[in-house]
Amino acid sequence: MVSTSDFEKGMVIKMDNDPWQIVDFQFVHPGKGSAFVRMTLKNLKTNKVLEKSFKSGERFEEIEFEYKKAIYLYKDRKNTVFNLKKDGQRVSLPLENVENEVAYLKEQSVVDLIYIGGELNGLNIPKKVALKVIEASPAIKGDTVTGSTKTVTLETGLKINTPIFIKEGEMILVNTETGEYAGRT
Amino acid sequence: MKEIKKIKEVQIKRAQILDLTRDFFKKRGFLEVQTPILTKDISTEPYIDPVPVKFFDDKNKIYRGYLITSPEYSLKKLLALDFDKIFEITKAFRQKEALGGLHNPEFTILEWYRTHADYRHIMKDTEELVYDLVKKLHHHPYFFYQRQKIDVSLPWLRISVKQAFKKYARINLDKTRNLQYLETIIKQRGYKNLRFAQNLFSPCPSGRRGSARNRVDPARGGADLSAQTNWNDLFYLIFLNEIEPQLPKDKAIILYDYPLPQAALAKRKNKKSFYAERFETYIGGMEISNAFSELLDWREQLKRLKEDQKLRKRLKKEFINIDKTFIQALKLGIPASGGNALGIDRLQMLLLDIKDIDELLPFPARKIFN
Repeated sequence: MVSTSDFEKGMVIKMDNDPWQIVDFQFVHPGKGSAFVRMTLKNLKTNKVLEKSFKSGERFEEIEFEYKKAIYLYKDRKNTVFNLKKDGQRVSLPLENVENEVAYLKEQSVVDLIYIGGELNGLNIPKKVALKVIEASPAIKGDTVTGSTKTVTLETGLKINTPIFIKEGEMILVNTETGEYAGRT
Repeated sequence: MKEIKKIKEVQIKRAQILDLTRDFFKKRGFLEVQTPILTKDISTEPYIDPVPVKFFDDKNKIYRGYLITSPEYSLKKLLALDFDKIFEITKAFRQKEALGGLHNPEFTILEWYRTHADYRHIMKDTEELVYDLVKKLHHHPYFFYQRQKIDVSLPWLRISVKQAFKKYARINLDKTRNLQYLETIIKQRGYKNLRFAQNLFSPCPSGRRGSARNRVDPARGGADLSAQTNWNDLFYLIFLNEIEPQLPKDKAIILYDYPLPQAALAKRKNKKSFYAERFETYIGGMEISNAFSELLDWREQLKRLKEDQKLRKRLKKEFINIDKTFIQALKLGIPASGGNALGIDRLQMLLLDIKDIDELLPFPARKIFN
């Protein structure tokens, strides 16, 4: 059990049987009542973010939480397979749990695997990744309407909308949270 | 170099804000006073922890006192000496609070008092002061804090605590005069499931409605202390989780008329009211000041200070003597007055778009002591 006074950013606590990561916290001293701690919490299962205030001194169950660096090797129909950087151990995650993230991953790229309570739970990928365009229809001459887009295919097989001037072979940035084009590299 | 330049820029702006604040009050006929930071007796407020000090004279005689938690007592003693419009910008100290964020154990406080006035006059002073500072620093009646546009145009939105509870939490605050009603709401809202309030439910036997057990009304005498502490904690649980996050962030607001357990030094609205004339100012969601129509009835004040002492004991906090000279000052008689205590550092943080007090102060306590 940890008390509010042990809180650190990044710590994971158990609430309603879910793991919640402390994104931010601040002590509030109203001066006319007990101290409180205001926290921004992120549910590691659903990614839902909440702001909650607890009475200072309240106790919580801490869940061990760590990131391990790993290299993404490949995916098959059911699993995604990684190699832990530290000891070369091979680990895998069910594809259905990480489909969204894997769509942005090139083989051999480095990711952070998330371990909650000692168990592999998911992975973290950068907010923006650079990927190569492997298929793009040429811009249609005369089509100069600003804001018009086209769909291109990236090297991971992902299809996204980009401005019409993007050409095959170019490297572009993709926002992995929104799945949107985020500029040229 | 960049860092040094930034520290210097911030300090120049802080000084400018202090100058403008002094100008504001002097132009309105307030006298700037200086009262002791080191005093013998201090506020007994149960939830504020003073820093004790001891020192010696030339004959090695020991003296024990405190650093002030606010200059309130001294300023009221001046009101009893016929001062009518006074202000002070001074240092105050509180411990058992966070180092950094919105708190530093040593902070700068602005207090002002007007006689022949009440909290409505102080509301006007407060909004005009901030408006004046924003206009002079930002050349518009608005500014940006952490990318949030905050409009301080006059007059500010005024919302009573009762209205806020009704609007944002759908709670009739009048009914919370009975603690059980409040406890039921807390349970119904699932606070307990989320482990919010586990320590809050004292083994308080189920009392009848209005029985002494559940009385949270200090001014009526015989108020139950455990009921009062629980009431305050539950009040904040709802306030911090359901109300404060929903207060408008794009403007300055005045939240007024606090329930009695929340208003130790404020004048009661009328003899039977559950509310006292206290207001707080929120700018962009940050609380920056706390004001009252001052409680000037010495008997009532003495009674509340004794209640404070009992509550401190219950909270296992250090015993603090009642400042007898403060009670004497009230006995001398002070005309109806209003006053405000405003956190200058927080106001500076807002006006200079600074998120952590450690970036405002050249030498924050967290850095000095760690």
